[in-house]
Amino acid sequence: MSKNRNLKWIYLFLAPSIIIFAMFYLVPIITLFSTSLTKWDGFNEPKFIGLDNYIKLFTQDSFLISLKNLAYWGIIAGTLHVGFAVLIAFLLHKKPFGWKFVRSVYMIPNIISVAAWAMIYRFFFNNDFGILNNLIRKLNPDFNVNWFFESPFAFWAITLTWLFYGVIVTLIVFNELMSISPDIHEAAKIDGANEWQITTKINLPLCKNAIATGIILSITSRIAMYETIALTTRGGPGDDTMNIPIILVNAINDMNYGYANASAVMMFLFGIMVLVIINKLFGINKEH
Amino acid sequence: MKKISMYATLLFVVIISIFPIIWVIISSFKTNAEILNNPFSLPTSINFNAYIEVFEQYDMMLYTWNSFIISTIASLIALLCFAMGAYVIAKYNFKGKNLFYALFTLTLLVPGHTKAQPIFSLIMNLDLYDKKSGLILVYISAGMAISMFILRNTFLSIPKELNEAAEIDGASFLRIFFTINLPLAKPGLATAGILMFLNNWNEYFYAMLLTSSNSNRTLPLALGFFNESFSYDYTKMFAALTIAIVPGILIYSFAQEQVQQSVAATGIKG
Amino acid sequence: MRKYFALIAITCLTSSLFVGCSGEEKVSSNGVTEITIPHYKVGQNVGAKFFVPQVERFNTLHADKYKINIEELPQDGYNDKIKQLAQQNKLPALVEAGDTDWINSYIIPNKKYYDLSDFISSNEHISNVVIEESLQYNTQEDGSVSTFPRTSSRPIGLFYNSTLYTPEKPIRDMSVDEFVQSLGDNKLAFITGENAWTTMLFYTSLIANEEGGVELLNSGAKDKITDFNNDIFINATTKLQEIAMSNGSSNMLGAAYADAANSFMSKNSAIIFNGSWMGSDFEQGSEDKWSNGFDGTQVVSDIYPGNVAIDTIQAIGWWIPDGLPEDELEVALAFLEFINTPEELEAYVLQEGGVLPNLEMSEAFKEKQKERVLINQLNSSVTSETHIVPTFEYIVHNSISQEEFGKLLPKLFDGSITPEEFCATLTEKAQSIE
Repeated sequence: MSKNRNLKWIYLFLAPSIIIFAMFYLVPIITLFSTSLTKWDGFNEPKFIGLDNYIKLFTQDSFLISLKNLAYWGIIAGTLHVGFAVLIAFLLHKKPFGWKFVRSVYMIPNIISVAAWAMIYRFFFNNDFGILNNLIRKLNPDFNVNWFFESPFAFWAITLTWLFYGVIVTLIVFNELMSISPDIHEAAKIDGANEWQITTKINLPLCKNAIATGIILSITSRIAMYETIALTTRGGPGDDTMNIPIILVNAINDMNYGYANASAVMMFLFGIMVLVIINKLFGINKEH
Repeated sequence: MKKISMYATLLFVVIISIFPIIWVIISSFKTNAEILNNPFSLPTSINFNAYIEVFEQYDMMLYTWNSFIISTIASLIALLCFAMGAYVIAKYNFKGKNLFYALFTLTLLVPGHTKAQPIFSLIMNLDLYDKKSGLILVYISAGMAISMFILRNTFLSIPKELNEAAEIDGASFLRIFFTINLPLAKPGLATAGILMFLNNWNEYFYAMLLTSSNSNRTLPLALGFFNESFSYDYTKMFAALTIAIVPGILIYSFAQEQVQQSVAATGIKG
Repeated sequence: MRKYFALIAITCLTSSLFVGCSGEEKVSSNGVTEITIPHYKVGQNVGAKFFVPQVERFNTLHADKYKINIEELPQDGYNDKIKQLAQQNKLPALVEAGDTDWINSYIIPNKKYYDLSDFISSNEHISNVVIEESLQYNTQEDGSVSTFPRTSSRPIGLFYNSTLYTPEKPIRDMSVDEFVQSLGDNKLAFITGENAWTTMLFYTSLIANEEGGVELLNSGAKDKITDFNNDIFINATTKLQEIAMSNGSSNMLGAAYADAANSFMSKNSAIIFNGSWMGSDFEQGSEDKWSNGFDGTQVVSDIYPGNVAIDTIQAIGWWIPDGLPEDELEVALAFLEFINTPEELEAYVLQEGGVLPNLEMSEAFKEKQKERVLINQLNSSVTSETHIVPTFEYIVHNSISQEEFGKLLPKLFDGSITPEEFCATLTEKAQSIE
């Protein structure tokens, strides 16, 4: 189909995307990797210091705690969070009364900014006038927990701000379910399969790719979770809710660019790792 | 029994999704003392004083306008750029086509915050710090992966025969793109455009990093300021929060279908 | 369709050009030099009451020549924003203090400041009024003055609500233990958010009450303390923990300064630790901040148990970045000159409290000063016997005082770490900065 006379146009059409890619992805990523090996304050020339920034990262408590938090959050995101979202997708797929309304409403927390959502939750969890504690106090009048600011609650308070909000995964899986041909279900019913068997033996395996995508998206957004923490606990109490983006921004503010970029490289590598591992687990690349 | 637990779960979804927001909106009509003493009560009277004061103290119109203009321009430019890119990838064969597509879509996996420092430096070197155009540039790049997914698939779904017929008629490359393919790609363009718009509208991190002055402040960023200014007066705080979240919800209610489609489209390929 | 699309494209391009240009600073129009400075003393901030009208007075006085615009920033974000602006070589013409570690490690060694020594020595009224000790602190080895020194001394103490708390004798005459006993069920408006300001002040006074604490605080301004594993800190931390657990306000965990102020001005706590500038919150005109029957006339001020007051004379003030255009430098210097005129200095201490040791006060001032009950109480509590110490902030690294201290406090206050662990963690954090 392509003709040589079009080649000029093809590359001209591709050019904006290539320029954007080079400026905002390729060059920054190369910069990240190269400057992470330097001591650099942004004013003076970067000084090569080998792996010192990485050594410092891995000997610093706040980073080690961030890794632990990321591991927990990643596991929770990949299991409970995605599991709940998939459950909702399957429930919606049954088209119960009001399913369209539920689907629309479930999207709302994703429509408003993460910053606003974090602040809403800060008030929601407030010990004095927050809804949650006042509800609990109806049952147990002496209940007093400052969710975002007490160990070990802070970690779970942060977790609760996103745990049930998996609408993106729900919609991806829901769309996949909708695209399953009704013939398959008909055939299964003729063969005597009950509803539970159809769900687990047919629908679930067919949604495998959608679920894997959901897991990847959910875990990578945990790696990059910044606003939620910055506007609530700032990583505290102590380092309880520390994560890598907070370390990154603090390092930028301290003009410790080499260190900041070393932590960014770690985020980048974790992102790639999640992709590779989930793809392996779900065997995505085998088809197509 | 099965039915009950299903509806209970769905009710739970509805409650966790809108109850916190409704509580914020209701509280914005209560007095400070009412908020502190009885978080469940309904306001004793409805007045908009808190809203008026927030608008008087802060240039909310300006922040909303900034958010709107930055999000819109960035989304439109991005749409044009990525439509062009996705179009040639979908319709033509050329060297490096698959590599380009893979690279463009893999950008989805780069957490946006990792590039903070290089992009900070880049924007400074371009002398675009604290300018709307700097933020626009960053936002254009942010939608790359998802727009490429959506638009490539849209263009693939447009029959090849249309292009072939047009070429036989001697239509130029540009003409085929603008008059034949773009109009047919409208649903995909709308989907990608709305998704990018919403992401830009809510973006906080780079807005915080790349702007400083009041005249370039966006709505999500203004929230961080309320935090300090209004903590004397929770009524105003809740009013400010309401002002910040309502426009997004309104936009969504007008374009629900597209938004849901666009989000689901993220999963076109893992 | 094609036309339609072209229209969109053109609109995009033109509007993005327009947007690009509108970000430019307008330096002068009709002969007036305008500068815009970011600052946090705006809006609801306590400092706004004096600062905003002061800038207005300056603008009115020099209406034909200069104009200063203020751009609001949250106090918590000010230091970071200043550093980011410095990156871009876009520092505003006037900066008030900032991250002291950064100023010491970057601004001063790289000579990024405008030398104020000529300005101070050539203006007799200014060189007379600055406090010598503070001037020395702000003078660098080469004799240049990097940051503007203090002119007034402002003791920081505490405020209590006399309808809730009625001590038998002045707090300054009590020991820490007596003070704790006198409290009963009354709450202290502690905070752990932001830089934990009110809590940090009380912690400073507890350190000063330890054997050797006063000397330690006074020595730390030069060399930052990075080892907290000693009796002074551990004992002070132990007391802080006990007091917070028994008498801390219910909202202290995660609370920001404004929450503490809210708690005090709604009678949810009886005592708040803060400087004299807060006095204006308890005067007529601030009623909108009061609730639950709180009345500013109920407030009494005092200094800390053990006759301790806090004041950091070795502190940095306003500074001007180097390399400013001539006209902007002129505005900045004119502003510094303006705020240090006797009238403005008097207005300042009248509003925010403190004393001007080197200024002969006018009669009119003395008259007005009498009405400032709270500020007078605070000023007169300070005698020659009083131990005056700098805040804990000034003896530790910036990230310790601004980040780690506040972030660790909730753990101390809910008992999940011991005072020893608290000090050990601070030490570890401080030493990793080096």
